[in-house]
Amino acid sequence: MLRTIATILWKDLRIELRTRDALSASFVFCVLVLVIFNFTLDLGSEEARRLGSGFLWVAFAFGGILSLNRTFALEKADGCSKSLMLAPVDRGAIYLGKFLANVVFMLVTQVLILPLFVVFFNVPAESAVPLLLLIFLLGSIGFSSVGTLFSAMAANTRMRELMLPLLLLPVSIPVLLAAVETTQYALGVNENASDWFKLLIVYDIVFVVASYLGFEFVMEE
Amino acid sequence: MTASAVLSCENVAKRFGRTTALRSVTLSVQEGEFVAVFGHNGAGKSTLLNIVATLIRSYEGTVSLFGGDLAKANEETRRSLGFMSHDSFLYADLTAYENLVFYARLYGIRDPSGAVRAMLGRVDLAHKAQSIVRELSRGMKQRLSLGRAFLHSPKLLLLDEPYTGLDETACVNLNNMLSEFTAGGGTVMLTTHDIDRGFRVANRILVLNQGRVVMESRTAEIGLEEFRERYHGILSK
Repeated sequence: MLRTIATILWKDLRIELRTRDALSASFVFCVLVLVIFNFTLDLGSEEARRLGSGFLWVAFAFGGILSLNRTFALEKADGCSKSLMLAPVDRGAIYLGKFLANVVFMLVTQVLILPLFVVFFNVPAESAVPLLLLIFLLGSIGFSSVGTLFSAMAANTRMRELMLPLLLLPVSIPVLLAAVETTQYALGVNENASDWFKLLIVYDIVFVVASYLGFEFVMEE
Repeated sequence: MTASAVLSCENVAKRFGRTTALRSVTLSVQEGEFVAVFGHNGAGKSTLLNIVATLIRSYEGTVSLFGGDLAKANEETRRSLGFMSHDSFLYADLTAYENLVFYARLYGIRDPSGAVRAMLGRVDLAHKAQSIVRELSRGMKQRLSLGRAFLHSPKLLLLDEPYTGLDETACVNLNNMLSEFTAGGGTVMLTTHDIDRGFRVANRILVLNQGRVVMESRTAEIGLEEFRERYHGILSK
């Protein structure tokens, strides 16, 4: 199983390193969102810290959807998803490989965006970087877990670019809320976010397991 | 089904909405046989191969593969199948070498690198190993796709229109590979519109028309000209 996960992950990273399709689209989108919010709203430093977390995760969510749309579009081209279904491997392992690739893509975008967020919103994030990276990781796991499953579903529809956000965003509300609240805590806006951290962790576990179990049914005819 | 039957279909039917692709197809393929399936576009050839390849899971009737129910096909059953479809099953942004290494790893082949280099040599693409698949010609992609289907040494090879896009040398090369494969005990089921090539390479022929098996014969029992005449008669009905 680990071999299959590593093989799928290797393949997706190799293609991304060569094309940079998912990362560039996601990164540019996130930059644009931050630039637009920064220049259209004249925020004081306290407001920036409070609202900036929300803007940041809106950017990550929509940037992540652009990247997720690419995930199974890649497999639909030339029938590659069929060849994955033919392979003598646990289909759940295919899901885990693609899920990990999506987590990597989302994390790389977030790490690249963080310095811009600090500059644009004048947020004192330097001291909070380790905690922010942990929140990015937990948020990316939750968002990508269900996103990978839904991108497999949406890939079989005619309007997959439209279908994915319609399916994914309602289910992602808890993880996005928790990610925003914990990011505010990391930036010193909230005094306590332990319940939100618990929600993030529980969401991650529940949706990784549920998506792993459901993936085979989604990929069947 | 006899003890050595690799594939057995009984009253298999498949509908896509209002379109009936297969109607009550019953057939049996023995180990080491080379079956060529003929029929015009939409006759049900690809649907039949897709069902046997486990890619279509909802159908009527019973299909047995290697003695087991196809509906319960597991990883071992899938390992025994090699499938070459209309789709290339190749990632356009990976090189020829990377594509085959990816599949070699998925199929758990020992020494993926060595196996892939040997296969690239067999399909005459060793010189294109580091070329991105997107940049290969159609015939080269077809050969690479063939190499992918052969790579894990399957027991049953399902080939959907394998001659499409191949030049004469590549066709001869493919026939040699298939002859070696069946000589080693492998079983082949191939669909084609190319009557001459299909008839010459197979030891059994099967004609599908409107989802039904309308003709079945051993190639030793019927001449090419007689088959051609009867085949065109079927198509003109």
